[in-house]
Amino acid sequence: MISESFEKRDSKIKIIFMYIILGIVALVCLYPLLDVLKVALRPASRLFSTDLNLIPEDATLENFKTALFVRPYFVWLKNSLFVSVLSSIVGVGLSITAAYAFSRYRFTGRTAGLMSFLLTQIFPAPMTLLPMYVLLKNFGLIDTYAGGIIPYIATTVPFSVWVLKGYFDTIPKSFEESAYLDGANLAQILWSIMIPLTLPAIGVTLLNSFMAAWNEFVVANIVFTSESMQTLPIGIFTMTGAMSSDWGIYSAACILTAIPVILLFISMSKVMINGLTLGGVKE
Amino acid sequence: MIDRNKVTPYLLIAPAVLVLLFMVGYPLVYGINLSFTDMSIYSFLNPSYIGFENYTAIFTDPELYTTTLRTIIWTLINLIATVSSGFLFALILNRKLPYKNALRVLMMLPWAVPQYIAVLAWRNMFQTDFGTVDILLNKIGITGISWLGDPFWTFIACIITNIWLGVPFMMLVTLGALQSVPGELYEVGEIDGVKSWQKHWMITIPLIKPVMTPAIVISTVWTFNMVSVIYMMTSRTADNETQILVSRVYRDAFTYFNYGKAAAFSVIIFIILAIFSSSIIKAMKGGEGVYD
Amino acid sequence: MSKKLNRVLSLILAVVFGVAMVLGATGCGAKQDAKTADAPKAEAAASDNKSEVKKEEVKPVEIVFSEFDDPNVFKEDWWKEWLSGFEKANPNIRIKRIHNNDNDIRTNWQNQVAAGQGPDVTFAPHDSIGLFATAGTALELDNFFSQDFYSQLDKNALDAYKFKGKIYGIPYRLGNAVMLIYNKKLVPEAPKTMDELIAKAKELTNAPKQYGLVYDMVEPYFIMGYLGGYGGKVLDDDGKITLDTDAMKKMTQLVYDFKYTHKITPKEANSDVANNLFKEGKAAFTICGPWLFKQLDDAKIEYGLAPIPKLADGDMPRPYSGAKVMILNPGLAKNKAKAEAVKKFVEYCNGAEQQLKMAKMVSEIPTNLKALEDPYVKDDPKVKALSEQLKYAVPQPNVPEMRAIWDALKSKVALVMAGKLKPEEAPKVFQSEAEKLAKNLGKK
Repeated sequence: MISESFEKRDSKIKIIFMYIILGIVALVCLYPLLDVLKVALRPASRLFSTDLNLIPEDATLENFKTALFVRPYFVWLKNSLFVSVLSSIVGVGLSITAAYAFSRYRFTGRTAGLMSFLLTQIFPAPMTLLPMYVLLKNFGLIDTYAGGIIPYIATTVPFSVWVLKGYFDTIPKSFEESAYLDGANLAQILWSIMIPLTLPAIGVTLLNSFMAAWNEFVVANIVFTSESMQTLPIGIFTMTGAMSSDWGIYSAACILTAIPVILLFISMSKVMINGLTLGGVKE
Repeated sequence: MIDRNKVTPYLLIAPAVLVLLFMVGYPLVYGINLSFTDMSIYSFLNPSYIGFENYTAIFTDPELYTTTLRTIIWTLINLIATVSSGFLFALILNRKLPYKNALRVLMMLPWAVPQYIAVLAWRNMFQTDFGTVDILLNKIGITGISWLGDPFWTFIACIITNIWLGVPFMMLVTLGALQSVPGELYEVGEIDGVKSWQKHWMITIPLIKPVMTPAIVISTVWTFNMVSVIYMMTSRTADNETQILVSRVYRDAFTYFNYGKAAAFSVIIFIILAIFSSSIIKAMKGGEGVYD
Repeated sequence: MSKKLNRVLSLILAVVFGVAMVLGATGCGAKQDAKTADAPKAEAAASDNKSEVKKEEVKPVEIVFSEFDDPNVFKEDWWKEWLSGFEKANPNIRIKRIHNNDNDIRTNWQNQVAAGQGPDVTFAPHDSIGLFATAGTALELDNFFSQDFYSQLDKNALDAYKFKGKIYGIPYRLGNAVMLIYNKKLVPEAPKTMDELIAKAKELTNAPKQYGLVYDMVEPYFIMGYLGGYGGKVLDDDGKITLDTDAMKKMTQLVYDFKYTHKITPKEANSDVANNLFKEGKAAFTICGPWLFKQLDDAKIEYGLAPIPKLADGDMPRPYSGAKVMILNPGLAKNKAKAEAVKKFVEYCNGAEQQLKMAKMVSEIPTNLKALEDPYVKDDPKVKALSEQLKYAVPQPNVPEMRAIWDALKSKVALVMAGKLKPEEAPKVFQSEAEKLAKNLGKK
């Protein structure tokens, strides 16, 4: 049984070695968050202690209660979900059509277009803040969801286009040609051939777009000014002060922000890893 | 050719281009324009054009060169570490291994929290005597490193934190890219007696290149322009010895409100990165597909 | 044109429409808000010449103000209550509150005002006055309010926070000076001199379990009092940076000795570490300000308060005092109706009752003369202790160059504390670093 769940040619030593690497890395990834959890569980926002115990002796859920019910956590959560889901779906949607064009057509300005998509990511973000504020203000988008969603789409589209284009490139054109011969149109080809064949890449771009919006702070900070519009990162950040912060509540809120994302990671597993692999389709 | 109509591709890219033009075009023009003005607090609401004065001021500042060098070191170390470990972990996770899904979710955790929260958590861990890193180091006999006091170590702490933040993204992209490598190719390779590392060098890397090139270029740009790690780790006042180019932009713009100079700095960064990324893409033939 | 093109077109149109619809639907509600918010502006512009008072009464004016107080102390409900009195008395004026983190307040205000927007009033630390006034992003207030209004406020406070002789911010809360806080369990009585403090702290240090003295060793704000105690100032009367002085050397030596000679402090401590140690009863003394009181009360630590004691070869330390001020948007100069509403609002906020309510939240001192007569100001032990320390405090300079001074001191004092820069060589480095950083301001 067990032997079948590993690669055929992997030796026992190699398998143990791989588990050791993964285990150590997982621990390193997890540990800082455990530190945050530890602070969240401590009463009276004690930030430091010299012991390394994971669960403090006087652990309490008081901070989680405060973070959930005293501050408008659910409003922030709703805003964050709305902005992140919408911007990632729309953004990836735009990217799929653009990537298809870049992959399948040879047109004037193609190379320049691809390059300039990348160049849009290069201008340092701090300097775009003022013009972006002016722009959004002139279009009446300050303190609206669209004011966050449009900039987020703009920041993730170039990456999505490039990754998807690279992926589309690996799909033989013969697939579409036979579909065209059968009378399919472009929309059908995209929907029933290209998208299913590139699910892993679409998963990556969706997740990247979602996370970019979910964790985004700087733009959200200038756009979402009223408390009822704020997203989680902004809401949590308002809990810190320059000289004194209630780290207990802050940490509890951080954990509560990470939980929906972890759930998303778990549910994306199928698409990311077990999605239709191209190798299976190519003859 | 599938569809010979010349307008089709333009229509397909139009929506994406429109969004980018709207959100990036204007700020870019605005920024370039700003870089030729003297917009500082002394002329904040009525700046005037001063030609290339901001640029000459920047280029005659000897610190520019050390900062640029530090930025390059910062970018290279981060990039090499994230790409190579991302690739390694992805290769392992791409094999059949029980419980690998659970491990993979754990390995993606650094991505699950907003950056500044993660940086604050790491800053606490680097605290002398009270932070986990220092406690662990003390236990194995290494004492006296002032992570947050000594600029050299602060810079190292920033690099460690940034690698931690960056690996999950690289791992995920590589993992996605590996899905496009047909398993049969390896089997053919194995029959021919190709060694494991040769296999990756000759088969895997060329095949995942179209996806990896943009990821690496984008990641370079992100690292080069990463403000929050250095900014938060140094408690908002980066010393000259921990500063990279973009954190100087941030400082000039938002603590000194010298927007003209900060904009000029941004334009310089823009030019450096534009040259860099276009040459990388050309070198890796990033615009071309495998089957071209 | 081919069929295919039609299909492509419809596909793209579908995507674009889909985006537009979703964005439209979500932006809709807020956009309407924006419209109604703009309406009074247009209204006001129209009524400027005619001054039709009646018309203004019909359409409500919306005032936006931003604050930066700790949201764990000043909670949502507190603000609502605090504002309710005003909104009841002025049904035509609606108040919208925006919370800023105190690190963002300057950036946000500068960007928004530069874009011709922004809150009408911002509550801010007084040292933003110099920055905003220089940049033209603060309204000059000498004649904005009546002399009658100013006469209700503490004249000393008003004068202390002027910039170049003019009022740009109304101080509504004083305090923010650091003082000596001691753990009564470990130290029954406050020391009279710095030598006494050091001796006591040495006795009580048992690192890393217990420390004699903990304070924020990252922010120079916490040690500036010693500079004043040794007779030094960071700026001369002409506003030139003067960090390379004997007093500065003594200050640097003193904090260096705390760590290296007397060994009474932790090796490193930011505010979090220092506060944390003191809250856990692991420190005898700390240097901190009124913002710590609530946390100490929550942690049930028995603590005493006193001015930072007299230096051995100097005077009483002179920590910086700070005020919270209300700064107005320069755009109000062009919008009379709104300016009138804002005037009413600021006057309301600075009434005795409202100022007192706010000051009590953080144990600070109001500036309204009537409020200063309140038993709270006279009898509250914390306020009394703060007043005692304020006798020795000096207002923190608010010229824009302070930014360069803070940044230079912060990064270079850190080098001294890391043992990389000798205290006697430090002042020179402070000076050159501050001068270099000041150039970033772009003054010609």
